[in-house]
Amino acid sequence: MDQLAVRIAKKFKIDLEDAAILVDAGFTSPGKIRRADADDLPKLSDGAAEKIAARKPKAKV
Amino acid sequence: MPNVFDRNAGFARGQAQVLGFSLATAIDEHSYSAPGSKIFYVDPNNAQAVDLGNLGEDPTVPLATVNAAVTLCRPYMGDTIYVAANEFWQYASRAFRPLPIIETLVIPYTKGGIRIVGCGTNPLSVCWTPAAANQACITNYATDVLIEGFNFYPAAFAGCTGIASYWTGGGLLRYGENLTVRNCYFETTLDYGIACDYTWYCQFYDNYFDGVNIAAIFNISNIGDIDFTTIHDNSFLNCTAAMTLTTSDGCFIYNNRIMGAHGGANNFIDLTGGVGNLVSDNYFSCTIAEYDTTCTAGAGDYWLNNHCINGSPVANPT
Repeated sequence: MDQLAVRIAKKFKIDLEDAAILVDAGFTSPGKIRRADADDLPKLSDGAAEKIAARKPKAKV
Repeated sequence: MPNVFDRNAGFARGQAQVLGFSLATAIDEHSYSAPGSKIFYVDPNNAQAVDLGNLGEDPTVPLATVNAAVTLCRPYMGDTIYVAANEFWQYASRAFRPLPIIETLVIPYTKGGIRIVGCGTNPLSVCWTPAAANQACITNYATDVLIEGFNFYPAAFAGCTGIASYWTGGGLLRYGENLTVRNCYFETTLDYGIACDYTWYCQFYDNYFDGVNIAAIFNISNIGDIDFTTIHDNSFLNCTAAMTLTTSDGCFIYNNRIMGAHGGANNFIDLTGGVGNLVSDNYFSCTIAEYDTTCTAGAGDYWLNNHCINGSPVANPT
């Protein structure tokens, strides 16, 4: 099993299938996924997209 | 009292002089749980010490560098590197054993499961400086490495890091997680004490971070976060930031003591953007009112029984 996909699934609490889609699209790390624009990410299940969107970095105050 | 560097005397708790007698030490683990393992001795202050020609298994003819010892270690065989004490510390006489470890060590991914242990009466007596400015004393790419009993003290060099560890996966040959760092001292001239990127399941405990310039424990987060890390029983004195763990998840942070500027923004524990961390029983040199400034909780964190100078906050810091 792909280590990168397994870790991304665990990090974002998404299904392994969604994580594998991200890895196949070149989003191989949580940092890269967090920094990407939502429009640039591949099509994922609704729940997965929401969980990733929730982990976007927020500006510090 | 047996000589610590006598290969045949054996070791028992209390003899080996590594700080943390009430806890398991690498020496205990080596003696009792690693049949077939080897000990490699490093002592640059020994006149017989050379890397080429010495096997490193006889303490009377040790190796000169930790790098040579790492090269000789076998992965997951319980091999342990014992590094002799020195008196390079800034307040020592430097009359007897003046040479520190002067190395910018890289532990490759092929050396998983090794132990590197400073054998002094306390960590300050095994000084380690990188070879130049802006370098890390130790950069780790191997899994399950243990580092114990060192004083990371760059002395004249600026911009240095004590220990850096990286996991990247994806064929880049960096698997530096499950790292244990304990009983170490991180000196004021360091920019970072321990800096990690995407390393999971690390354990950092019983360390002393003294005025580290940027952050004592730092999540680099270029690739990913230092999730599922356990950080306990460390002391932080006047570090610019103690634990900068933004976007990290599932960490246990407990029984640490943080002494520093009262009103610094996120200069104690910063878990901004993290999820599901448990932060308990830490002592902070700030007031409850300042707790929201010095610390930030992640979403779904639980911050319990932490202590400020005028009581214990009842809510997560925001």
